[in-house]
Amino acid sequence: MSIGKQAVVNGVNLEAAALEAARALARAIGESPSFKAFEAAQEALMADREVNRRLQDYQRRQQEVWFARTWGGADSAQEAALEEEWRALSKTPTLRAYLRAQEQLTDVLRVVAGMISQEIGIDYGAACAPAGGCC
Amino acid sequence: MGSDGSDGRSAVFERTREFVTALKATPSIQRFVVAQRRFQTDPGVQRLLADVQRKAETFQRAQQDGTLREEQIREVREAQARFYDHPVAQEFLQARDGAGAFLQETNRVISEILGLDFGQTVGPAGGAC
Repeated sequence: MSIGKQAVVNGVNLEAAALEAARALARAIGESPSFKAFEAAQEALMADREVNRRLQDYQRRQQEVWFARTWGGADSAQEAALEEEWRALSKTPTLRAYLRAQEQLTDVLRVVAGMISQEIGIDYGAACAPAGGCC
Repeated sequence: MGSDGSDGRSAVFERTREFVTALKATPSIQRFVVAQRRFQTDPGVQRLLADVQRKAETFQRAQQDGTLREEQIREVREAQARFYDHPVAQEFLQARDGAGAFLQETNRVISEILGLDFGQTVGPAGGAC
């Protein structure tokens, strides 16, 4: 085998090894208490019909407010009512537990991404979520 | 608290370190690390970069003040062209794209297993504005 070909083969193997290490990392995250707590909180949230109904209603009203704001017809009373509803919703046990679990998992994931970014000199989140998907 | 007394994070961080080591051994990341070091230490390309930044600032200020002249637009464009023509800048940008593409591949693998977008979760905009 030529040296050039050998280098390509090695490169492919090294990439495969890195992808395998990525899978091992994902499995470790998946088995961590933070992830398990997040999954459990997500399931509990999905099973809570009353909170789900209110969440859907909240999202529908939120969209209406966004539209109104875009087209210059913002209603401050409607916006205040929406904020109030979010405050009330986030106090319900299932949503509160979900948001807390999500925050704790995100903290762990940010540390992981921070370790990768620092070592290789590229912001992992910025490289993988170009333009943040919005704005 | 997990069985290892550190709420299970140490296993995650151990796998993270292994992942980083494996990443650093790949051709695309190695190429990037070399290209970035050259880019950061090459006085010629750094001078061109500083020139682009200086001219872009002047351009923005003039735009805000309403004193923008066509000549300033041309100066920014020329400074950018000089920067992009520099081989060290070209190699850095290409290496960064290559490394980014491979990182995206690792993100797909991780996100698929977790059932959530890892990069988006830790990304700068956090998925919301």
